[in-house]
Amino acid sequence: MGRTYIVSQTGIAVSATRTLFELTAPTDGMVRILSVHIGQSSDEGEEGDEQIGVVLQRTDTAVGGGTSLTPRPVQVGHAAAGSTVNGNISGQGTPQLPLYSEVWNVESGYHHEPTPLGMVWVEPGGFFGVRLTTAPADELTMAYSMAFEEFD
Amino acid sequence: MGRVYSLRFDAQSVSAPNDLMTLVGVSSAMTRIISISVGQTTAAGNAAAEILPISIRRYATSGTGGTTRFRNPFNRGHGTAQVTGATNHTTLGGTPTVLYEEDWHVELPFQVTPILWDEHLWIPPNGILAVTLPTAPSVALLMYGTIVFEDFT
Repeated sequence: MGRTYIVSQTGIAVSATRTLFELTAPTDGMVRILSVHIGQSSDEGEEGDEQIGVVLQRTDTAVGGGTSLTPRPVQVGHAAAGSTVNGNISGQGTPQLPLYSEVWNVESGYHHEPTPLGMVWVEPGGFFGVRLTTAPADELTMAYSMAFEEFD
Repeated sequence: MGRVYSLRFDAQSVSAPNDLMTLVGVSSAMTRIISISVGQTTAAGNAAAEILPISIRRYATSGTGGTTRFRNPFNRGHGTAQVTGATNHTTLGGTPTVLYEEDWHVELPFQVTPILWDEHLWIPPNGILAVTLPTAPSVALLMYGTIVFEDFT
């Protein structure tokens, strides 16, 4: 069993396609993606309803940029994560090796909670991204989080 | 334990009955379905609300008219999937046996994620399994889909 960490961002204005998270696994261990949740607080009701594509993907090279985030261990006493995570990145990454192509209804939230068999593994030094593939019709104030498990 | 892959498609316009995703098992092994999800980005709001039947079915013969897709491995070191896959067959497969049949509200994802071991669907050797939209939507939908499966070859 590994050590579990959570990263999140809130109050993020998004008006274009975006890589919400990019995780770079440590060079000495594997990472398993446990869950991804996406929401927004600016649009509601009939006029605000919208459907946006979400892709969970690997890339061969880092997208880079965005804001450096600090993964928080779910258990007090666990060491800092070996993975690095950046959030709210304007780039998309190449080549994109998508594993899940799904859709987020902005008023109900996106909840990726696979069973263990459907969890993505990121190899040592590998990259994993959560990407919005279509731009919102108007700017969204977004919050999103991701949980992952590291194995030394 | 097998090797896990996904078959998926993005932003495909669907305006008629469609085998959204089709997997064809190999002759030497079984294939297990881990999860299925389908969504669309075109229709939003009350005026666009629509409920469509969607089914998971076995076929004696595969549909035609779609696109053969690469299956990306969930573990980077795994080789190419032996199970083959295609998306968006416009001519549905032959002699269907329906396994699941549900009504899909197009503004929410259609998801099948079996929790219990015994709930998983299996594809027998050389078997064909498809996720199918058997009736046409009232307007063309830009659709997305993913099927995650385990290849035991």
